[in-house]
Amino acid sequence: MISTRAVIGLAVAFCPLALACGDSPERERLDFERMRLQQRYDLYGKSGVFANHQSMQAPPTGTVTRESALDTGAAGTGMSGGQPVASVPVSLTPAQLVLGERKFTIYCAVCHGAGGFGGSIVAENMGPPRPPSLRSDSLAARPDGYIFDVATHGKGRMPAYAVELTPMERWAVIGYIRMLQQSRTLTPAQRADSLRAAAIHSSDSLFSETPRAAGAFP
Amino acid sequence: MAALFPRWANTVVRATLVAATCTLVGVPVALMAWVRTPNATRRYQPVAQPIAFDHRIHVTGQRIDCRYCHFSVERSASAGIPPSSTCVACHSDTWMRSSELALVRASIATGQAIRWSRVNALPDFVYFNHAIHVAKGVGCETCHGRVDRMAAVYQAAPLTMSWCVDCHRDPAPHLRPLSEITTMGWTPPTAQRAFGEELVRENNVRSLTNCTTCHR
Ligand code: HEC
Ligand code: HEC
Ligand code: HEC
Ligand code: HEC
Ligand code: HEC
Ligand code: HEC
Repeated sequence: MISTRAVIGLAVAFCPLALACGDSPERERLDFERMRLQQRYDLYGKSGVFANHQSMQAPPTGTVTRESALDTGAAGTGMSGGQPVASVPVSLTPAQLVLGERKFTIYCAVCHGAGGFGGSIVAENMGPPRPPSLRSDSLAARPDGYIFDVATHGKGRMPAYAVELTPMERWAVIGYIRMLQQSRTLTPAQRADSLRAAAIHSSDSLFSETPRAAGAFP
Repeated sequence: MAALFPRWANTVVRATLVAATCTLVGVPVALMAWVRTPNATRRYQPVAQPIAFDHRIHVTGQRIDCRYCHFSVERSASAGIPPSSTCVACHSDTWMRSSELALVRASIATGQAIRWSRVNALPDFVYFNHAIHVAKGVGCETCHGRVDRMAAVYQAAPLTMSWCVDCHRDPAPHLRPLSEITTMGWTPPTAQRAFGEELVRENNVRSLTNCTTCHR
């Protein structure tokens, strides 16, 4: 008698386990309220409320963030009096230039190359017009506010980087680009980039601006 | 009076006791072992995605930094999955047109996000934050494995509580310099223990083992 009851008891006790271990897609739901799946919206989650079934919604058009509403000066827009500002309107510390180098390497070097010569693996895979050299004389003569505008709104085929980079980070990147333009010594990565740029841009008849030859720098 | 039980009943009782002990100990042990197997934690199982996005092409082939696409990793809890507009930076209509990317173009046209399948997922009662780990020198590779060698991303770490807590008790053996966070296949220049201790001091890395660190 006892053994029969024990067997039934054991069977009942292990029943939920058997269910929980089953490899059904509903496994997360069948875990007996361990709160693994809570009734809340997660990032990238599903929503039954919105038409596009996403819990993450784009803000309505025309939305202004608190920061950008406060930041209407030259530091936030790169413009003063309708003209791009001539030089970086914030003071850049050496630490911020290091930040600028880091952000440049992540977001700009992908296309413009580690040294800014316009030679990268991605650029090679693109048809012309390719990402131009950021060390050209014509860009060196442009105001800093122009580069800020390109980084903020994009230009031609270049996408905007306003989401990835805060205004301060964009100014730091510009500070670093100016440093690149002035520097004459190249790291090995930059040298490889300049050689690659010379190779891909010279084979590119549609490219109007001649990048500096690799030999221009020691 | 005749014996109520035959002699062999003693053997049966002993055998039953042994069997009961084995079951009582064995079943929990077996279950505890099972939840730690890759099968139960769903490690190493490539997840099918709507687009055959290949990290090998983009990370190894094109030298794109992880943070170019997962750009919120340094400043928010979530690393973020790139929006379709990030893909069209390179895969615009004129550059690198590929039928593989029809879904990306459709998504740009309709504003409907691509439905990527989740690979790494913690239960909802756990709080996790990418920014702090990245800022204190835990590399992507430590938790996600060699993503640069994955055709389809799979979960590389067990993501169990013991895995998190083991590192939180003693982070030093898992730390790397802040400049090498996204490097794949990084090796320490000197013995990792001493190097890690140095980084613990330099970045002021704490050992966080309170339950409320992760369950809040
Ligand atoms: C996806 C590739 C790509 C990335 C990444 C990229 N660019 Fe560009 N960039 C281009 C292309 C292509 C052009 C040429 C646009 C045109 O004129 O049609 C360009 C043009 C520019 C120009 C204008 C050059 C001139 O002489 O007028 C500047 C300045 C610039 N990029 C800065 C940046 C900065 C700063 C970043 C990083 C935040 C960056 N780019 C990242 C592709 C890229
Ligand atoms: C060109 C853009 C791009 C780059 C660069 C990139 N990723 Fe991804 N990553 C994606 C996309 C898109 C997904 C979603 C599809 C998928 O899971 O394959 C993803 C998914 C992931 C996932 C799985 C997310 C989940 O659901 O749990 C991890 C982990 C990941 N990436 C890590 C990395 C690491 C580490 C690097 C750098 C070595 C990197 N990624 C570089 C675009 C990128
Ligand atoms: C910085 C540039 C860049 C970004 C950003 C980028 N890709 Fe790519 N992608 C490439 C390059 C370059 C190739 C290789 C093309 C080749 O080898 O022909 C490629 C190849 C691919 C392929 C294979 C195409 C084929 O025909 O086999 C797919 C699919 C793909 N990418 C999807 C994506 C998705 C999805 C995203 C957005 C999360 C993305 N890519 C973001 C540059 C990029
Ligand atoms: C300490 C371990 C750890 C480190 C370091 C780490 N991740 Fe993660 N990552 C996780 C965990 C855990 C999840 C699942 C999060 C969840 O379910 O909420 C995750 C999720 C992701 C996702 C999916 C989207 C999201 O945010 O939930 C992506 C993409 C990703 N990680 C990329 C990266 C990249 C890129 C790096 C390096 C810059 C990185 N991770 C560093 C543990 C880590
Ligand atoms: C390889 C090491 C490592 C792993 C694995 C790891 N962590 Fe961490 N974690 C750290 C370090 C280092 C810190 C930063 C400590 C500090 O603030 O000095 C940290 C900090 C945190 C914080 C921030 C606490 C706060 O005060 O905001 C949370 C939350 C956290 N971890 C959760 C997790 C969870 C959940 C997991 C498992 C999914 C995990 N961690 C896995 C190393 C790790
Ligand atoms: C470093 C992060 C971290 C810390 C600290 C931590 N936990 Fe956890 N805990 C986790 C993660 C991650 C899981 C989910 C594991 C899984 O999915 O199997 C978990 C799961 C659990 C579960 C299992 C819930 C279930 O139903 O599966 C319990 C109970 C728990 N934690 C209690 C605690 C207690 C008590 C403490 C303090 C002594 C603590 N945790 C500290 C990360 C943490």
